Amino acid sequence: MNVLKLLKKANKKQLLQLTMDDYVLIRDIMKKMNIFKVNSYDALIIQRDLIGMAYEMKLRGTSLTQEMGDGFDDFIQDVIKNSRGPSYWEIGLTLLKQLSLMIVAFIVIMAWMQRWSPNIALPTYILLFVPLSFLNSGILSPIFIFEKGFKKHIQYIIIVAIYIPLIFQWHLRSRFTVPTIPTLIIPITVFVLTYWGYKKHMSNLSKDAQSLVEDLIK
Amino acid sequence: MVDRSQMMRGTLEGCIIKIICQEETYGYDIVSRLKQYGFTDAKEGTIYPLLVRLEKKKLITYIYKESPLGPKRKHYYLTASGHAFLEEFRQVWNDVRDSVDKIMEGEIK
Repeated sequence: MNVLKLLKKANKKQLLQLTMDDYVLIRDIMKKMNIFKVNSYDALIIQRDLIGMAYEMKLRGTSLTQEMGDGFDDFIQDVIKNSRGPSYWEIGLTLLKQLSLMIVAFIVIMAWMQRWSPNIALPTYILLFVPLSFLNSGILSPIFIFEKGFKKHIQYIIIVAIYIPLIFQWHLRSRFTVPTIPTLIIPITVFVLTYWGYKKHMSNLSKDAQSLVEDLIK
Repeated sequence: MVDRSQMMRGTLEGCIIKIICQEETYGYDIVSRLKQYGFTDAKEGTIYPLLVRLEKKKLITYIYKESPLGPKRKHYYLTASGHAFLEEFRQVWNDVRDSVDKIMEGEIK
């Protein structure tokens, strides 16, 4: 039983019962609780708690937005500080999963453009995907997640500023030839393994949630 | 000026544990009781991060149940470690209170 899917579905449904202000508030809180701050399972539990709180406040004629007042950022920081925090396995597996999928997509497109020949020529800059993807998701995202306005775009500016000059370097425009099928099999295998590892890890994180699962199934 | 909320914050954990120890309860109810006992600034938003911490420390655990108004809420109860924590808190609190009282009353000169 996939607890995460059940939780996501239940939360999505219950969010619709809230006032627009509280809906927006909880959405904004959850945006800041990404996998680099709180693991996905705990984040969904926190969301479920906030929904319950907001729904009850609505029935009492008040709202979570009113209750929170100006303490929005302090509340998020407090919850993050007191929670179990991020899961480094989750972060690693998510990055690897996204990266392998991106490489599969890239190779498929290149192979299609080269009419599925047994050997395909790949541009050297594909090798930049790995460090840049890590830089973006693993280092810059956690730093800029709490920024507002222009500052939150700095992350993308840094990535583009690094990526574009590198791509235009003549030596990066060179190509190397690799056999199509084995090159495709490697990232697909990595994707399948990380996908399986991710599911297993998430089910470990939620192993104490038996009463919750029973409740969600009802 | 004395920061009342800062002073209260350190003791709130023990008070919440004591409230939960008396009976299985949930966020809104805990806040109502804290208010009755003089923690007039207490809000669900204030105590929620504390409840998350107590859960992380495995001092409390929960079961989802319907609240009196209907929505399913986490109803907390104490674990064995929670009971041990409460005993320890009580001792530490008594020691601290005695020490502060003595200083305030100027018993030691």
